[in-house]
Amino acid sequence: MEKLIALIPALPFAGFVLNGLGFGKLSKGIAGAIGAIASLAAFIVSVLVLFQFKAGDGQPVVVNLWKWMSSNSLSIDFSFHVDQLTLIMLMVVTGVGFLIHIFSMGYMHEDEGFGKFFAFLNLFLFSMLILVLGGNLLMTFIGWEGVGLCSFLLIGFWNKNEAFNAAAKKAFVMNRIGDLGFLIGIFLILYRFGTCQYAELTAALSAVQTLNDPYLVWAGICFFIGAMGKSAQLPLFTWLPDAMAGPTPVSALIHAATMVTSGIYLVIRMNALYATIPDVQEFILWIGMATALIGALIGTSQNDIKKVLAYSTVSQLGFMFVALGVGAYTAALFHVITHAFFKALLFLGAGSVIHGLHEEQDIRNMGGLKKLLPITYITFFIANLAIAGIPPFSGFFSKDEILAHTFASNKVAYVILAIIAGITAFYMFRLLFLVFFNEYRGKLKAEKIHESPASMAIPLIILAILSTIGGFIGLPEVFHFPHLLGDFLGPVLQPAVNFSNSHSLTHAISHSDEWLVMGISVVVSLVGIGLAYSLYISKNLVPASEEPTGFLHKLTSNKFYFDEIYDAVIVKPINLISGIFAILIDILFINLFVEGIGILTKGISTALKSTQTGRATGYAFLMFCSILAFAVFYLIKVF
Amino acid sequence: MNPLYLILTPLAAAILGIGVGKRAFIQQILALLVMLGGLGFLLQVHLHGFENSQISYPWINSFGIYFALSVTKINFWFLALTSLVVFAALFYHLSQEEDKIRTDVIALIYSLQFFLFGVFMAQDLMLFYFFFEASILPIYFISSRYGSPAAERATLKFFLYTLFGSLFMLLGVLFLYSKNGANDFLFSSFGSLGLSGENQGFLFLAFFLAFAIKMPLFPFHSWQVDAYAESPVETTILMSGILLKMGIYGMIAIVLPWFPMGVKEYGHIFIALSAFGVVYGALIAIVQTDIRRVLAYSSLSHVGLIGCGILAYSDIALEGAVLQMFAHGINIAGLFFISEIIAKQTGTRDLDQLGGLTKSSFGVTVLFFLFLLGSIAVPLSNGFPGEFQLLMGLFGYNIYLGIFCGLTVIFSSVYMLRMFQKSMLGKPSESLKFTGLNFTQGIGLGFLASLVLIFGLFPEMISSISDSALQILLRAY
Repeated sequence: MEKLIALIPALPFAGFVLNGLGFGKLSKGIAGAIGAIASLAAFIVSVLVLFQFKAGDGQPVVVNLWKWMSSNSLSIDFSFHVDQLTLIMLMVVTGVGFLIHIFSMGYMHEDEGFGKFFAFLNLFLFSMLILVLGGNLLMTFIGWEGVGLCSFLLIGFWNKNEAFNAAAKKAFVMNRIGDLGFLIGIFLILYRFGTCQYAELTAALSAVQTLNDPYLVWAGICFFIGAMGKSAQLPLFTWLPDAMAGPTPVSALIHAATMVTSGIYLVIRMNALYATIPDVQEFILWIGMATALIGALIGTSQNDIKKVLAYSTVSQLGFMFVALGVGAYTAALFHVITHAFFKALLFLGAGSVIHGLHEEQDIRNMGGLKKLLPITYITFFIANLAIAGIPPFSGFFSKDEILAHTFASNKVAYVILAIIAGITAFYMFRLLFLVFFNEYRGKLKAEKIHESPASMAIPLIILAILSTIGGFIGLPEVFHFPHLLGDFLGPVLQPAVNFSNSHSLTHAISHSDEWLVMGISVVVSLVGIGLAYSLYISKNLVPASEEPTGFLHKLTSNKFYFDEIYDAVIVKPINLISGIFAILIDILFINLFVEGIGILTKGISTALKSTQTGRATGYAFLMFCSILAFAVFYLIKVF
Repeated sequence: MNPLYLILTPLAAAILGIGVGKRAFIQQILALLVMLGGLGFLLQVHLHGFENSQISYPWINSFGIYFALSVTKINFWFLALTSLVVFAALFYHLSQEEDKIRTDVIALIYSLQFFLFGVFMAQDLMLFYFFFEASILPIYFISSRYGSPAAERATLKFFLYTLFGSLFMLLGVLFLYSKNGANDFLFSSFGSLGLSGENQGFLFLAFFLAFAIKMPLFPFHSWQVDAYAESPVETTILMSGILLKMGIYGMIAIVLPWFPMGVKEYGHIFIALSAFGVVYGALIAIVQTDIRRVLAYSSLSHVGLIGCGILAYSDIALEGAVLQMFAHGINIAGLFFISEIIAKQTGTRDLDQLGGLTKSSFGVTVLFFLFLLGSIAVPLSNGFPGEFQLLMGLFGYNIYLGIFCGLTVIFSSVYMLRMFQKSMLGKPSESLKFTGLNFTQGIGLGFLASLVLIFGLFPEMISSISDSALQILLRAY
């Protein structure tokens, strides 16, 4: 099993190396096949590992490969750690990853950088697998920075475009702000516990009995800052919408299904830590809530199909952090899984639309596509039902579980979250109606619009099936079916459960409340959909192209001016300081001071040179003065 | 293994090099052999034990000066880096057309290697001082003969500035000698002199000044940018890649073990200053438009972090300093190498005029990006283990200092990516001619780039040799 585990990341890495070295030499068919086979093989091996793991005793499997870094007081192995959480993430990453590789073979077919694209995609998969397989915090950090790097490479994939490059750099730098937080968190953990290996760390953290230990509070905040960067939470979320500059399969894989959920993975991985610091959990709850709300509000007034989905992702990630904030780790991971299915489907559907309309992304120039793109339409519809939370589609169950736990622990938070769920249904159906319903508003001739080829349609169909039935892995308790996900994940979350029980921090939810929450979820979703229907179907409204007028509308369509504020408060001042340092301090002050010493020396020597006149009278005068001076000095000293 | 073999190899190569003349291919083989020979020698020392690799001959008896050399666990990686960086500089020089190859430059580079080996291996303070001073001469001659007038001025400034610092060191050396009852200059005599705190204080200042100017640390850096930007690239590679490591070596091997009370008394001031330099250099690098100036300020920032790590008397940071010293040498040499390929072919180093070069050369893009990753310390590149340990050690020394220095994690990505995007990406300009690497450049850079990955995956190779020795240095703290 150890060898199989090591093989999982090695396979996509081999794909990356082959495609990287063969770039420009391999034909598109071979390059695509290498990429896809590498990801498929990783998926198959992951499944094998899953079966072997299930046959075992359920204890985490740790694979130590070699000693990576060490010093007198520090020892970090290059190691993998496989437990239930890892296995679930492996399934999602390699499974969805493989589907998106297949989709990309069709989507990127015309692109001259085809081989490079698959090389990067494989490199991303490798990094993501290292992230979830990592046996200690530092291994996770390797993957953490690795996925950020691949994200940079893929957002700026079409690197002749300066705007895309700027988006890529923004994503990397914002991620690095979070990474610094992560690093400091690692320092804190290493200084406190002397290890960052998960198995040892969980044991050490399980021994902590103090509530909100200040030291651990800071560690928890630092890791969460890392999560903010990677998972696009307030205030570090503005890179994600810009990241839509990358090819659409990238948006589906990296910026919806996998990389952006790393922050959730990290918090679940550290559940033994977070359970002891409810204050930080509260903080996570409200950050997640604010992100969910702002993402959803902005989503209502975007007109670029990918931007709507991007803000929707921001908002849905906020939901997951709300779940983490109330300690519902299973619910958060559940939503990670279902979201991976339906959001990847939505992005691939958007990709199919964009492909079919020859690079059109503005939903005002779409409409009436349901007859022209039937497969895309049906699958997109299913994804919409899932994200809006209509039973029995997958998103209903995961979102309902989050809502139920929020209801149990914080009623105010619950109300806000339910409203956000309603807004979600509204903006998603607004998108659906504007793209697929009514009449076509664009300029293309109908016969030029084409449905996507099979390589793109098949992943859509598979993801649609998963989006439909994916929710059954976590049925609510009232149905008296086993919660498969919860049961499987149980051992990973044991430390958090133990701590919560011993400090009576758990909130139970009664069956009647559970029915109530479910009912309310369905109602708010239907209200949202109904509103979208009345506006965009009955009244046949199309968003105007002129400037928005209302205050709220202006605010949302300008994305709450976050970019402008960051520019004014951070970017501009830093550039100003850089300029001051470069010119005033470095050149005018420090350099002139040093050169000044040189000039002074030269000046003194020039002055002294002039005394060397060669005339005897001059020397005699100098001698006389000197003797006088000595005499005066002596006299002063004597008296 | 007798260290004389190691130190005499470059001298022999210099003579051979003059004999070979302008035959580039043979010169390349020679450079490769000298590099591999140096590394092979070190490997032998590692395998057969360090205790057999020391010599000591009386040199000037009346003053008790010895020609004493030895390979130690502390200078081991400095010696290895010397071989690598000299190889990089030579390979750049030899990758030009044959009529541009100068045998005197080659001989001067080899003689520099001789002096550097001497600095790192010397076990006699007077010998150390001699090599330390002599090492500026080859640089000065190359720059003044083949550099522009601006280069000559910049190198003269460098020359005078470091000479100024060395004078204080000389005073320190003589004072130490006067305190030494054994009447010799041997390193082994100075470790246990039992100097008073006051004496250690000013000895610290005297030696520190010499080394801080050499590295350079903020605010003693004003010679650096012009010297790096204007000199012929061979000297820039040598200065940034290995010459400044003499300062680092001096700090680790001399200042730390001999003047612990001085470090405790004044160290925190200089940590604060060079920590400021870390962020200061990074911020200035963000607004530079000349590639070489971006790299020069990035070097100020990186080396500042190393300086902080040495003075923080933390074992983790000190080991990080050695890791980062090695990584920085490789990365900065690779980056200056590439910047010159770009500058020579396109005729400009101005980021505002460059752009879209990736279209013309896949190889340059990949190699440039690899060195860049090392430089911004992405995990699995050689820069990460060092930066991680430095920051962790500094964080343990003082939390706020650690976080402040940690800003370099963010800023380095800003200036490096900006440089990469402005030169390699974007719309290809019609007027820029760029053909990419020739075979020699490909071999030289490819070799260095492979080290970026190897030492990223296995930094333990470095730590396993140097860690135990570094621990001993910190015993006095």
